[in-house]
Parts: sequence; structure tokens; C-alpha cells
Amino acid sequence: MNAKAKFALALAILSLAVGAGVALLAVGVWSSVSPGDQAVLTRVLREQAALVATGGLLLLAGLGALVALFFRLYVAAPRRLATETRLIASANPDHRLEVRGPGEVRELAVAVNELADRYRSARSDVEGQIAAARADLEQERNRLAALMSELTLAVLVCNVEGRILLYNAAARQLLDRPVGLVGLGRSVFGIVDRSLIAHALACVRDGSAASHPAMTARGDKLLRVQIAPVAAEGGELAGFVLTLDDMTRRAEISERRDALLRALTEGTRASLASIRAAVESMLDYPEMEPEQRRRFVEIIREEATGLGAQVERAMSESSGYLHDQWLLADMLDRELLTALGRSLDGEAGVRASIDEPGDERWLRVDSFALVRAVTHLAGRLHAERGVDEIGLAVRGVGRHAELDLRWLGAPLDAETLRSWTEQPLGPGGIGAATLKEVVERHGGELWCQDEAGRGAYVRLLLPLAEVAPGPPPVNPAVGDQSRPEFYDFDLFGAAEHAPAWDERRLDELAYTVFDTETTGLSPSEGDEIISMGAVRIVNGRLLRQETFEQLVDPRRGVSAASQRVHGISPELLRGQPTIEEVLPAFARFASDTVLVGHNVAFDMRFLQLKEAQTGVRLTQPVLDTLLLSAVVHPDHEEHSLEAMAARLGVSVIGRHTALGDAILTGEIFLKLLRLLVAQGVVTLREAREAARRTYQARVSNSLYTRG
Amino acid sequence: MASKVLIVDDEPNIVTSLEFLMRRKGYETRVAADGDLALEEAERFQPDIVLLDVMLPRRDGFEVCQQLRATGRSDLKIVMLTAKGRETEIAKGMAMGADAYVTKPFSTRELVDRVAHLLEGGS
Repeated sequence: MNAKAKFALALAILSLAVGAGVALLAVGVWSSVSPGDQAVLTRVLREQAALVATGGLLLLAGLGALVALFFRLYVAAPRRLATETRLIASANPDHRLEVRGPGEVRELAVAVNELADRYRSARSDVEGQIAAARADLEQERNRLAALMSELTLAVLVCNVEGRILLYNAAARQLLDRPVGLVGLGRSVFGIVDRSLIAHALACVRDGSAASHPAMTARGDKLLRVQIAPVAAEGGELAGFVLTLDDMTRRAEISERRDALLRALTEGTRASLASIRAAVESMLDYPEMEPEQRRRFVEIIREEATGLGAQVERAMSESSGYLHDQWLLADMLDRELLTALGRSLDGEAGVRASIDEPGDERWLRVDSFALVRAVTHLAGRLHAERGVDEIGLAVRGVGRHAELDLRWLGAPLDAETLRSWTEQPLGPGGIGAATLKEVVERHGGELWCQDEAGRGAYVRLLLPLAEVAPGPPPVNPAVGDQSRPEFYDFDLFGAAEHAPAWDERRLDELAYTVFDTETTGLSPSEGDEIISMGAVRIVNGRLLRQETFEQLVDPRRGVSAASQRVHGISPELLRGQPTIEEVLPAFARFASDTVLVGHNVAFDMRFLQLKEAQTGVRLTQPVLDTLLLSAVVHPDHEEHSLEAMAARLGVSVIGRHTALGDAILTGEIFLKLLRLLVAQGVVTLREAREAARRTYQARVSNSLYTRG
Repeated sequence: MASKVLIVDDEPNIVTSLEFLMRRKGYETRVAADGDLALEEAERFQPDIVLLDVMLPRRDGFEVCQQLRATGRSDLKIVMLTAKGRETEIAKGMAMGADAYVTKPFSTRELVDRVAHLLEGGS
């Protein structure tokens, strides 16, 4: 019952009660007086009827005013308090009640305000904790991603279904051939055989090892796969971790070593046989003619020269792999010096001063063994020669680097240095047990000299890296995106058995947003695709690391008009793969996802015309951002990419390359998705139906133009 | 006066050839078969040039070279011979003060020419 009705009801009840009281009083008075007085009363009342009526009305008015006042103070005020308290609780915790009205109501308001204060501080506490926890988690994840990206080992983490939750840059580099195999949410069984993984997991379950190694071949690569299970809380399998190592080079090295050995054994036999035969002939027949003898001597010289050349060739070929190459890694000279300095300070008890190298050089070293060995040397210098301070410097000379340890004092005589280099370094190293072995394994040399009165130095010659390695992989944690996209652990809990496309929620689907550039606008008149670009959306995130970009040789000219739009010249396209090669790769990249494009009917027309020729049919559902924009903003008439980007607050960079447009379309699509959900368009079916309705509306309005 | 050549190598077969070649050029020769003997012989014989193998028993050729440079005549020429021939090894030999570095196997004519050239004061 609303306030007005209540007020009217209260007033009516009160009026009736007062009326009844007056009537009862009148009846009482009337019955207690004599008949004569009754007649007098009747007369008086009749004469003063106006006065009596006025009095009655005044009484009623007074009563009404009283009720109204009471209502305002004790009924309306609590109602107001209740409404505002609800506002505090649900929408605005900073709102406070106005303290006014009678004492009791004021007290109530004060009490509610106190409660609101406590509520607000409790709430901000909780929010703070949530934010802190989230930030911690985010940081952990970013750290993990950064760590992964630094690993040279390829790592893939998968859920129990074999969907990839995390991969690192090394994994993509090693395995993403053809493009589109490595990606969040993609199946790992496209990369590693399912039975191999099942076998390895079974071995781990039965045995005691935490992981199981296996070898597998992919294309021309030989891979060693290490498979370790990830257990869920209950102990059952939640997923598994794969680490993959490219063994191709190692296998190559051992093959070449075999070949070298064969060449040195079998190959030299023939020459030795010729030499021996010639020599023995000369010995056995000393009387032979001078001409014959001269020929034999010539043979010996020829064969010996040949043997020398053969050995020379073997030496130069083998220099790279006679040592345990895989223990050697490329390292910046600066980093080696830092590591040495730290170890000298900490382990050898010697103060190390480092000469900063002028320009950077990459060394090829087993840094662990080297640091250990040099620290041993510094320790000897400290203990036996009282050296407290050692200067460290690296200089490049030809194909080698000179690593110098300098100190003030006498140089070591060769005998002492030799005895130190042959001392065991102590446990912990792999392979090399002495400084001498460490130096030999690097193919290096070491000696001590004095520096013209300015002290002495031990010089280590170390190999430089043959080719300077490329720039280190970009750390995804510090890229332009605050959150790297190499992993998505939310997929651990992703729906296991996906319902049919149409019934799935828009926000849980994976999408491939793509765009094409063409020679012109009429596919049926022979225009062709010249460029395709695509980017994936998984779990509501645009995966900038997972893109597809390919120029296509159209085997025909490019119209000047379209060349002005995309800037791709015919020269650029010559020698690129043809559509027969590109389309299957694109289909693989887009498999298991909904296709999204802007005015996508145009692109689909081109693709459909290629079905017979390429054997590729894209059967998955398709969404058009142009139509979805019309669903979300029916009042706007402009649905070009630029207009939508401006409306939705998406910045436009790199337009008119297929990949640039695909990324822009993807960003717009993500914004549209949120607006669609707000309008109650939740499933793919609903989105497709809404799009179909606007399409019909647009067709009837003839507004459907290329955006 | 004939130049004096000290041959330091522990392989008699190559020593035979080296001795023969040096004598044919009219040089006076002595032979030492390890590093310690080499230093002793150098002291006694006072050679003009040493043909010094790197791989020697006891004291290796580098040590002998360093020692000779530290104590011997300043105009002493040293030619190092080695079967290894790694780049780092050559760099070390030169740092130890060798005048030339010859990798085995070598052309005898070239070696003879090299020795003659060094003895005439070339480098």
C-alpha cells in the first residue's frame, strides 16, 4: 500500500473514531437530561447549526493536520531512510543519510550512517585484498611467461584433453611449421603423436620417474620429447607438460664425427698402401733402374702430400664438433666477466675489478666450467702468492678472445702454472675435472706472462661465437601488452565437451578474425586474392602472437585502383606461394574457430570461388562485424571500420594490410561482443539471427555497401 | 763460422730428416729429445736457432720457449713445430716468443728456406 492510501486510510479511521466518540458523547448527554432540556438543546442546536458544523469541520481539519504531521515524521521519514540505505548497500557506498526529523528518526539515521561507514571500510579492505591477490597472481603469471620465453627448450603445457594452455617462443619456433599448429586452445596431438603421449604418461604412472623421455621426428627435425604429468588436487591427471629439444644438430654432429673417423681410417689406408708398396719395392730391388726409382719416390711424395692435405681438411672441418659442443653456449663477454667477478669475490676471496669491454663480443663457452676453473686459479693465486686483487678483462683478437687475469706481483713460472692447471677442481662439474681440461675443451690455450714491470697476467684464449646470435627474444612480459598471451590457464577448466556451435556462448568461442586484399572487387570476373591476414581470439583475448600473414601470387595483374588502397605492387607478389598453397594453411590456422570479418561476405565470396580449385571448404560459422555493428548501433548509418573504431574507442594503426585490418577488426569485434551480451545476445545462434535480421533490413534499405 | 741449430723433438724419424737437411745446408746441429734436455743443451751449445717441437715429454715446447726467451740470447731464433696447428696454439706460440710457427707435415724445402731466412736476420 502506498503512502497516500495509507495516509487516507489513517485519516478516515481517525475521523470515524472521533465522530463515533462525539456521537457517543451526544447520545450520553441526550439520555441523561430531562425532556424539557432536550427540547431546549434541540432548539439551541438548530439555531446554532452553522456554528456546530464549523466546529465539526475545524475538528476534522485539525485531526487531518495532526495525522499528516505524524505521517511525515514517523512514516515517510523511515521510508526515505530505507530507500537510501538500500542505495548505500547496492550502488553507492559513499552515500550518507541526512540526519533530520524527530529524535528517534535522527537516531536511526545516525546508526545507519555508522553502519555504512563500517560497511565501506570493510568493503574497501576486501576489494584491496582482492586487487592485491589478483596483482600477485598476475605477476606470478608474467614471471612464468618471462621465464618460459627465456628458455631455449620448447615447452608446451596442455590440459587433459591435449589443448595447449601455455607455450613459449622456443616452442613456436621449433614446432609451428606449418603455421597454426602451436596456439592457445589448439590440440597438441597435431604436433606430437597421441599414442606417444599416452605411452609416456602410462610409463610415468607405472614407474617411479617423474617424467618420461621419447624421441620423435617431425619433418626434417629429430626431437627429444620429455613428458611429465600435471596432477589435479585429487591426484587425477589434470594435464601434462611437454618439453621438446631439437636433437637434429646433435645427431648431425655425431654423424659427421663418424664420417670424419671413416675418412681418417679407411681413406688413409689407400694412400698408406701405395707408400708402403713403393718403399718395399725399392728396398727389395735395390738394383732397379734410376728412372723406376724416381717414379717410386715421386709416388711416395705425392701420397704423403695427399695424406697431409686430407688431415688438414679433417682438422678444419672437425674443429667445430670435436669438442663437447653442446656444453658450449654463446655468452656476452660482459656477462662472463660479471659472473667471474662475482665468483672471485665470493668463492676465491679475491677482490675482482672488471675492465668494462668497449664493444660487445659473443664468446662460445661452457660458462659454468670456465667460472669454476678460473675461480680455482684465482684461489691458488690468493692462497700461495698472497694476491688480493685481480683485474679481469676481455679483448677480441681475430677469431678469439683474450681473457686476462692481472695482478700486481711476479708472474707464475710455467711449472707452477702447469701444476695448478692439473689440480682437480673438486666435485660438481660435468666432464672437465681440471683447469687444463676446461681450456682444452674450449679449444683454447692458457699461459702466464709479466707485463713489463706492471705486474703479471694469466691469459686464456677462448673461441668467439661464429655468428653473433640474433637479438634475444622479446620478453613478452614487458611488451606493449601488460599481459602476455603465451598462456591461458583458464583453459584448464574449459568446457570439456563442447555443445554444437550454435548453442555455445559467444564469450567462450574461439575466433579467427581475418581479412584479404584482392586485385579488384569482382571475383567472378577473375579478381584474385593477393594477401591474407588473420589473428585468433581465444577466451576473450586477441592473441597478437598467433597471427597468419601471407602474400599470394595472383598469377595476374593488380588493378591500379586496388594498388592504391593496399600498396602491394605486382613485383612484390612474384614468387610468393599461390592460393592453392595458402588456402590450406589458412584453413588449418582457422580450424575449430568461428570466422569473423568485416563485410565478410566479400571475402567469403573469394574463398568460395576457390573451393573446387584448392579443395578447401571452410564450413565453420561466420560472423560479420559490419552486421553486428548494425545490431548494436541501429541508429548509426556509418559502419566502416574507421567509424566503428572511433565510436568504440579503438585506435587505428596499420590499416590496409590484411593483418593490420584483421587485428583492428578483432579489437572492434571484442567490443561488439560486450555490447551484444548487454543487449541479451548471448549465444552464437542469437548473434547470427540478430545479424540476419539487420542484414535483411539493410538490404531492403539498399545500404549494404563495402565498408 | 757455421750457424748452430738445436733440434728438439722426441720422434727420431723426423729428427733424422731434420738433421740431414740442416747438415746439408752446412749448419752445425745438436739434438735434444725432451724439454729439460733442450734447456741444458741450449745452455751448453749456444745455438743460433732452435727447431722446437711443441709436444715434448716433461716440459712442453711452450715452456722451453718461454724459458729460452727469459734467459737465453736475445738474438736466438726459435721455430716451433707442431702437429696440432690450432689457431689458439699458434697465438700462444707467438705470445711465448717464437719467431715462426710451422705445422706438421711441412714441405722440407720451405722449412729450410725459412731457417736460412731467419739466420740471415729476417723475420
